Amino acid sequence: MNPSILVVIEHKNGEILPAAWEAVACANEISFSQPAEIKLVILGNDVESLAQKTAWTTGIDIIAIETFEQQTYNSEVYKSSLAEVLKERPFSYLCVPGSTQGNDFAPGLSMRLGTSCIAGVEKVIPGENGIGFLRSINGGKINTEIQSETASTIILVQPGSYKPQQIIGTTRGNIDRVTVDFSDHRIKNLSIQKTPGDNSVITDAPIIISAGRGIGDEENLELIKRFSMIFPKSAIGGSRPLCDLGWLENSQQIGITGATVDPELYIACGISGATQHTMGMKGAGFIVSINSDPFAAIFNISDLCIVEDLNEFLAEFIDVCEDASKTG
Amino acid sequence: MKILVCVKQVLDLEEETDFHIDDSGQSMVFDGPPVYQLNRFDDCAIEEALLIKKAHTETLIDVITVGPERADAVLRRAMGMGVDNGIHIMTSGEEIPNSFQIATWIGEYSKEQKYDLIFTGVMSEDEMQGQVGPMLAEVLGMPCATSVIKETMMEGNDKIRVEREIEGGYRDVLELLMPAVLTIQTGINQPRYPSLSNVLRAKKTEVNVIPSTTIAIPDKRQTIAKLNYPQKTRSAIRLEGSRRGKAEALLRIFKEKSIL
Repeated sequence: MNPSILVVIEHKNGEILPAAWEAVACANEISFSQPAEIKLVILGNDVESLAQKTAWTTGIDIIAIETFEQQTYNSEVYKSSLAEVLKERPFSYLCVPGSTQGNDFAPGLSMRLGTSCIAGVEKVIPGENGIGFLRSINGGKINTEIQSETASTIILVQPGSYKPQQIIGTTRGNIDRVTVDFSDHRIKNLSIQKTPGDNSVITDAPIIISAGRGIGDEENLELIKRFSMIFPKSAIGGSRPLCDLGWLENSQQIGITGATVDPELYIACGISGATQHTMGMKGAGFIVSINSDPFAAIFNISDLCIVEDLNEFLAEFIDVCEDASKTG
Repeated sequence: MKILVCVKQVLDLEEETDFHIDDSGQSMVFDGPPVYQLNRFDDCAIEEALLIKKAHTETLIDVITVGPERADAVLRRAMGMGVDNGIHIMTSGEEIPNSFQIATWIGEYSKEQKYDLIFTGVMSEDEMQGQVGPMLAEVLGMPCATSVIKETMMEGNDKIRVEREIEGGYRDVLELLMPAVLTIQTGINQPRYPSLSNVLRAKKTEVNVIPSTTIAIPDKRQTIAKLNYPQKTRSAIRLEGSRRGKAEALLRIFKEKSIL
C-alpha cells in the first residue's frame, strides 16, 4: 500500500466548507491512479467534536490536531503544526483547498517539509510515467500538466474545479489525536471584518451582463448600460480589473475573489476568461461571449461565441433591436 | 527602512499575438513577436512600496527579478516609477524556472541584505501560482501574509498591520512582526506611470546583474510534463457572417429562447 493521501479540511464555525469536499474529490481522483488510503486532517481550536462527527459520518480516518489557544486561522500556527505532525506521518499527497487560506500556508509548508507544491490543480491526469496535475496558465489559453519529483507532494486544489464529494461511510473512522502548542508571536490575529457592500444584486439576477478589460475605456460602460437595458431583470457585473480601477463597484465583481453566480443567461463582454473569473460564473445556464480575440479562453466555456470588436458589436446589436421594435 | 519588491516579466495577454504548442508538446511557439510587460500584480506591489517611501522618506527600495535578458525592461520600468535599485538574476532563457527555484534564488540574494519588508504581487498573470512570496518568506524565516489589500506601518516601524482579502467579502486583519513578506492584491492602489525624470535616471543607472549560474541551482522538485489546449466544455458555437448578421442572429436566438 502506498503512503496515505491526506486532505486538509477547511472548516468554519464547526462546519466543513464545500472547498474541503472538493479537495476530497481530488484526493479520490488521485487514489484511482495510485491506490492509497485517504485520511482527513482537521486542525484548529477545540476540534474534537468536529473530528468525531466527521469520523462517524464519513468512516474515514482523521488526524485531529488541537491547537488550543489559536482560535482563528494563523499561517505560522498552521505551518508549524502541520510540519511537526506530518514529519512523522508519511504521505504521498496532501490535498489542500486552494482557498485564500490554503494558498497562504501551503507553499511555506512545502518548504518546511521539502516537498513540491503544485497550485491551482483542476484535474488529475493518470499517465504511464506518473500522475500529471493539470493547471491553467496564460489567462486560461493553455493548460500544463505538472509532475512532482518529490516523494511527498502538496496539491492546492483550485476551488470550483471539482464537485464537492461528501462521503458517507458505514463504519466509524479512527481518530489520531495530536496536541500541539504553537502560540505564534510573529503574526497576531486582530479581527475579521466584513467588507462593506452587498452583492445580492448580481447573485440574484437571472441575467448578467458582465464587462471585462476588453471594454477599453471607462466611457464605454455607458454602452454596456444601454445594452443591459434591452434585458429586463438584468444586472451588470464584471471582472476584477474593472473593480480595481473603480469603474465598477466591488460588489459587482464576479470570480474567485468576488461573487459566484449562476444566472440563466451570462453575457461576457470583453472578458478574456482567466480561471480567476470563470470559476465564479461557469455554472451559468447559457453563456454568450463577445471578444475580439478569436483565441480568448472564455470561448471554451461558452455556448455562443461572437468574435467582434466589443463596442462596435454592442452598438450594432442595440441598433438591430431598435429596428426590430420599429417593424415589430 | 529597506524594502525589496519582487517582480516578474510576463506575456501581455491582452495582445492578440497567438501562440500554439509545438510538436514536443512542451513549449509554446509564437506566431508573431510576443509582447511582454510588468506583471500587473507586481505593479501594485511597487506602488505600495513607493507609498511607504513617501511617508518614510529615508526608505530605500530595491526591485529584483529572475528572468532572461529581456526582463531588464521590468526593472527599468520599476526604476522609472521611482524605485532606487535594480537586481537582475539572469537566467539563460532556455528553461523557465518554477516558483521554488525563483524563491530560492531571491532568498539567497536577499539573505545578507537585511530587508525590513519584501513585497510581491499576489500571483503572476502567466503562471497564476502565487507561491514565490510565501516560499521566499520560509527561505528567510520571515512571517508572511498573502493577498494583502491594505497595510499600515505601526509606530516604531517594527510591526505592520495588514488586511488580507479572504472569501465571502471578508478581510482578515493581522499584525506581523517585521521583517515580513507581503503579497499584494490588486485594488490596493492605482499604480503610477513612470515619470520622465525617473525614466532618464533609470536609463543611466546600472542594474546589478547576477547570473543564475553563480548561485547554487536548486532542484526543480517538479517538471512540466506536457502542455495542452483547454477542452471546450460547451458547444462554443461561433456566429459567422457580417457584424450586422451576427447581431441579427443573436437577437433571433434570444427570441427563440424567450429571453427577449
